[in-house]
Amino acid sequence: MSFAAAFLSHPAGFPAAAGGEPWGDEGLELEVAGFRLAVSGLTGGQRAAIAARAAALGLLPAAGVVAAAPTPVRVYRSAVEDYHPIDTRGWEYSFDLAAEPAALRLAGLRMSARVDWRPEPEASLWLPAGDGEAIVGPFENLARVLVAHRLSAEGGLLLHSSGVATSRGLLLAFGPSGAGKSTFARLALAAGLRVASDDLHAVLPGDPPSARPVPFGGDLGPAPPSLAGPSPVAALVRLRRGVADRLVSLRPATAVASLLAVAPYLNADPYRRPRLEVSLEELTRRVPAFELTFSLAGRCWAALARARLFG
Amino acid sequence: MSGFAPESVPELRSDVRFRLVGGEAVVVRQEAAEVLVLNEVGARVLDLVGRRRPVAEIIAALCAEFEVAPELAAAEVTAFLGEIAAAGLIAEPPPDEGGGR
Repeated sequence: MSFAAAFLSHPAGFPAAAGGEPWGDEGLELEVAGFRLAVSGLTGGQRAAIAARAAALGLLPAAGVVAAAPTPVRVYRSAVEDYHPIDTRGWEYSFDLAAEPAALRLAGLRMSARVDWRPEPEASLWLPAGDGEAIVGPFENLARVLVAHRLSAEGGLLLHSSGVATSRGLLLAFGPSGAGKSTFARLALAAGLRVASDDLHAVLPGDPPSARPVPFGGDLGPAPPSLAGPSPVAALVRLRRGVADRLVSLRPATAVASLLAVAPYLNADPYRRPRLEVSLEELTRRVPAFELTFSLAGRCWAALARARLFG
Repeated sequence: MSGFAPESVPELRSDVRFRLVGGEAVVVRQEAAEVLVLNEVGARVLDLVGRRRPVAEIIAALCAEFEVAPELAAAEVTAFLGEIAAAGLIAEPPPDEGGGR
């Protein structure tokens, strides 16, 4: 099915550029994984909804902190008729992404958005009349995609991963949906360990590379304050569920391939995936990668300790 | 038998991209959103395919680089080309290629 056909009544009418009728004249700034977003065109209710969610996730910028130029996110009205009705009972949430060299288009459940990269990145989000207060979900989806691309510009990436704190930094346990990221995080908490996120981390290059949790998803709520900022990446661990606990090293190509599969948004963008591959290759050069088969007995920490990944 | 004649030049499918990492190949099939890893030998074959080398030259390269007998190399290369064609990495040879000779 072509881009947006599942969501839009007239995909060919997808906005070719930013613009439209704003919902209102309110706005606010948020900071997600170190990137500042400046949202505008909101009603008072929309602003309050985003602000409440941002406050709960620790995304409101600290007062008096000067940041680099924020990425503007402008919110506009669209027509209800622009969208297909979708029965969400039993529906697994998804949205369409279409990448172009100078822009990115998104279409999802009663939302459409575009990001234009030149001359400076700017985003536009369209929501149908009547959905004003339901802005939080569409906004979070757009914010994740924006953060992924801002990271890419700096040689970084997003990783679907659980982050467990060790004395050496974060152990990022990654894998596709169902691999056990949340289970692993819960086992870590039960073992008295600290967990940054059980869902998504922003990884930035460096010596050593660093990672910080990205909110919006996961089951554990906001990270503890001590883990909300960047931490060194101590290890990359591909998760497998099993009946015995075992840790084996991953060869570089296998590590890169496995990480590529769980680096969302950029891995499906043919214009940015080559840079992602370079970033992953660099990451695996600097950080050891393993596969951990873990059981529910919670004894995987011994295997990790033997590899000196804990302690 | 895969049907890749010695003089044929296998062709990467247009949506396939690969990168050599640590001597192995990370292969992306963009249309299928699939990522594969090929070992050192498979990576070398794919690398030569990417350079548009004919099958005979690929076989000769493997003989030289991996110290394997020509007959074994020929069998392994043609079988491997058939496998990666079936996996969607390269185009299948045209029906009259390697057939009724």
